[in-house]
Amino acid sequence: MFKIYRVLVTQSLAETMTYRVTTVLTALFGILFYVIELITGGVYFSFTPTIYGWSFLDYLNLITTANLISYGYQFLFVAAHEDLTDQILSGNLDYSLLRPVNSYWFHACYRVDFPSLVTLLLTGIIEGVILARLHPTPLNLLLYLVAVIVGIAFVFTLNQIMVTLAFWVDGLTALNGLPEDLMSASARPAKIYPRVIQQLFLWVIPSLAITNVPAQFGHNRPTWLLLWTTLVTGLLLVISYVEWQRGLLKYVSAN
Amino acid sequence: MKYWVTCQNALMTTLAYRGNLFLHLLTTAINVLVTIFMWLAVYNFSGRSDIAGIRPNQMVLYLIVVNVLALIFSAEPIFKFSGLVRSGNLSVVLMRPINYFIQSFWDYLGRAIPYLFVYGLATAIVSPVFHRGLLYGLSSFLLMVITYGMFFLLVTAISLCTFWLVQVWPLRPVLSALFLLLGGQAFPLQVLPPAFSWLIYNPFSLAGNQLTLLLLGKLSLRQVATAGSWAMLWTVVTLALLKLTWHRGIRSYEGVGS
Repeated sequence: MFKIYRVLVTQSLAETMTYRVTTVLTALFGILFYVIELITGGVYFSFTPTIYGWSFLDYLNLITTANLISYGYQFLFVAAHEDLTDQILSGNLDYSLLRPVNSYWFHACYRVDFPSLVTLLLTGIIEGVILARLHPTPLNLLLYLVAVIVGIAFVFTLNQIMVTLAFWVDGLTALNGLPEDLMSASARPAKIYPRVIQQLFLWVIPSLAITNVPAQFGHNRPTWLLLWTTLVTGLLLVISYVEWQRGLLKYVSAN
Repeated sequence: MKYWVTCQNALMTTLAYRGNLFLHLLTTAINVLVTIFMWLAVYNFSGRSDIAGIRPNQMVLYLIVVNVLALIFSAEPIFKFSGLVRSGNLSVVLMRPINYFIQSFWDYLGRAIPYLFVYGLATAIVSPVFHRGLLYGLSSFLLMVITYGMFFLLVTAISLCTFWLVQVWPLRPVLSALFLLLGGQAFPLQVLPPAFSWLIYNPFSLAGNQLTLLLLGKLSLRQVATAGSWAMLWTVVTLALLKLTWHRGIRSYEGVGS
């Protein structure tokens, strides 16, 4: 499996080198929107030093961590997900289904998006600088990294579930943008939301927990919510796998 | 009449994919809610009841209206025109007994009708615009019309870069970012330090920030006139740009597609 993944990554790199301008532009736009978030955050905190106990540095830590999770997902899975809906709808899964590989993971890891790696590295450097100022303990730093990995897995499972819906729903393209919007709405301190929304997105669909938990470890406020997010992510992974198997039963190659 | 059919078709296209339209509105609503909750927290923790002359309830309304305006002032003509140039189908359009730009305007209008209806309804019901006398009401209406025309011309002028660019998709995030930051979608430009006050007369701000403040009744007659003058100026600039680029672009157009 690792050998196949290495080939797929090599192919992705070759494609990236062919579309160099696209690579540069994607990286630039990533930076542009991050800068807009920084400016907007700067505007918020120009009126008050703290919001629900979050200082501007804590807020920066939160939005940078959310971006780190988002770019991590984009680098590893977004290109494959963008391709997958078309593959399902146009009946092009036959070729991969004939291969002696796990079709779920083959399609999930079909491509990596190298342009996002540039923004991922840049965001990683910025987050490194922020964490250096927040001084998390080694254990909290380790749990921060675990929380970010769980976050990437959570975003992957949400998108995988939405994309796989193409086996049943055709033409509802806006559905694929929902996880992205949910995660960008979650890149804010959980406490700004009314209690009902907080409970819903901390416990039921824990998107708020996914962004807030690593940020909390970053500024030395460990939380047991990490266990819950790991559990829910695992459950979503199982659901997406079962959905894929069910979808394959419904799949008609002569689409 | 022939252009009216275009407008109707554009409206039908918007309404035909109701699922997508609903989800699009839902995601816009989510983004608006996030910004609203963030601003309410800022009001709460700053202990201020007024930021840049805007009270919390007005800020909520501001954020809703500016996001509706972001839906009205879309950049869709750029991508439509790009498709025509890249496929070579522009030749077919040019042979038809129509003016492409007028047709494009009616298409732009048709697609925005549901959102224009919401803005119009809010202006009629919530806004004090039409309760401040005939002159103010007329000036406000003129400002809306001129700004709408100006923004369409601006987007159309930008679309002509398709003659020289292979891909125009990068313009989509750039224009979204410009509307967020310069159009006052992320925050009202009035909260910025006075050194940035000149920003409010850029085309994106006229379309987003100024039309929202107009609906909130925050613009005096003098400010309406100033915004209107700037909108006129931008209209002249974009018209000149359009004329210049169209003649150059059409000469470089090969009509065989790419």
